[in-house]
Amino acid sequence: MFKKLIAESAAKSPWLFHINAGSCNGCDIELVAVLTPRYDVERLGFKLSGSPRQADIVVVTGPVTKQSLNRVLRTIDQVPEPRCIVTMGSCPQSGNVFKDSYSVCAPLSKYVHVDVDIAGCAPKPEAIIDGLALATQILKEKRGQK
Amino acid sequence: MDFPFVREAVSKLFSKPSCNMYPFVPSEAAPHYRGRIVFHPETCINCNMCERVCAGGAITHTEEKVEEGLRVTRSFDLGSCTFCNTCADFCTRHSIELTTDYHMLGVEEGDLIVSGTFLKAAPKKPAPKPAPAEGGAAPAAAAPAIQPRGDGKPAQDPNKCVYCTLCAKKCPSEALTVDRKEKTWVLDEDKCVGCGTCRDVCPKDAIVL
Repeated sequence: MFKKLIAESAAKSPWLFHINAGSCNGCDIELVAVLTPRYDVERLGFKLSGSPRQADIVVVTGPVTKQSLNRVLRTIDQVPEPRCIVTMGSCPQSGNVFKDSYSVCAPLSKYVHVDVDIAGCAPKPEAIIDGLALATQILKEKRGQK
Repeated sequence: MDFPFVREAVSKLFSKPSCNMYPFVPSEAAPHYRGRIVFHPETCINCNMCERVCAGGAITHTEEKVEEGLRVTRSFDLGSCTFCNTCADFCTRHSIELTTDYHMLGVEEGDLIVSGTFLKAAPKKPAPKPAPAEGGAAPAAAAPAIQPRGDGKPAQDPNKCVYCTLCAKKCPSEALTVDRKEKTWVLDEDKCVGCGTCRDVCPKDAIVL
C-alpha cells in the first residue's frame, strides 16, 4: 500500500538533475529562470536535485566536450532507472556551431538514449516547461503508470 | 512589539501567486522573437546563400534531376540552428521566415526538421540577341542607360562598371567572372539564378536585371 502511494507521489514530483557538458551558460541560465518565482516550475512538482542518485530527469546542456564526455556518461549511469534524459538547446543535439570540432563529441544521442530534445538556442522558459512536462509523461509510461 | 510585515504577509497569503501560470495560461513570445523556421519553397530560387551563411550548418538541400528541371528539397535542422536570422537576412527572395512559435520539442528523429520541396525549371535557351558589350570599347556618347535583358539575369553597363569584382565575390552561384586587369565581365547564364545580389552590391549601379 505504501509502495503504491510512494510511486504515485513520485510520479507527480520528478526531480531534475542538471549536467553542464561544456555549455556557454545560456541554456543553464534559462533552466535557472524556470526554477525562479517568475516561471516557478516547482509548482508543477519539479525540484532540482543535488545528486544524480536521487534524480528522475537528467537535463543535459552544452555540446558534450571531450573533457566532459566521460563524466557525463558516468553521471548518467548513476541515475536510477527508469530515467528520462532531456537535451536542452541545439548543442547536445547536434553540436550547433561547434560541430566537427576536435574537442566536441556531440550529439549526445550517439552515446545514450535521449528521450526529449528541446530545440532553441537557448530555448524559451515556456518551451522548457513543455519539454519537462513531456518528459514526465514519458517517465510515467516507462514506469508502467497511466 | 511592532510587526510591520504581518499585514503584508497575511494579505499575500490570500492573493494570487505572482508567477506566470504558463501551462494553464498560454504565453505569447515577444513580437520579434526568433523561433521555428518557416520555409516558403515556392519563392526559393536555390541560390544556396542561406547554406553559405549558416554558422551551425543547419541548412542542407538535396537535388534530384527530373524532366522539367531540378527538384530541390531544402531542410532546416532546428536541432542545430542558432536562430540567428542570418539566413533570412541574406535570402533575397524572403523565402525563409523565423516565426514566434517557440514550441519545438523532438521525441523522434525528424521532429525538428523543417523542409520544403520545389521544382526549379531548367534554364530556357535564350533567344539570340546581341550580347552586352564587353570591355570599355562602347562609344561613351551613344550609350544611354543599359536595358535589362528581360530574362531576369544581370546585364552590365560597361560605362559605369569599375571592375571592382564585388559582384563576382558576392554571387552565391559563382556565375560571374570579372577580371580587373583585363576589364572583362562574363556571366555564366547556366549558373546564374537571377537572385539580384550582384545588382544590390554594385557600388556604381552598373548592373540591371
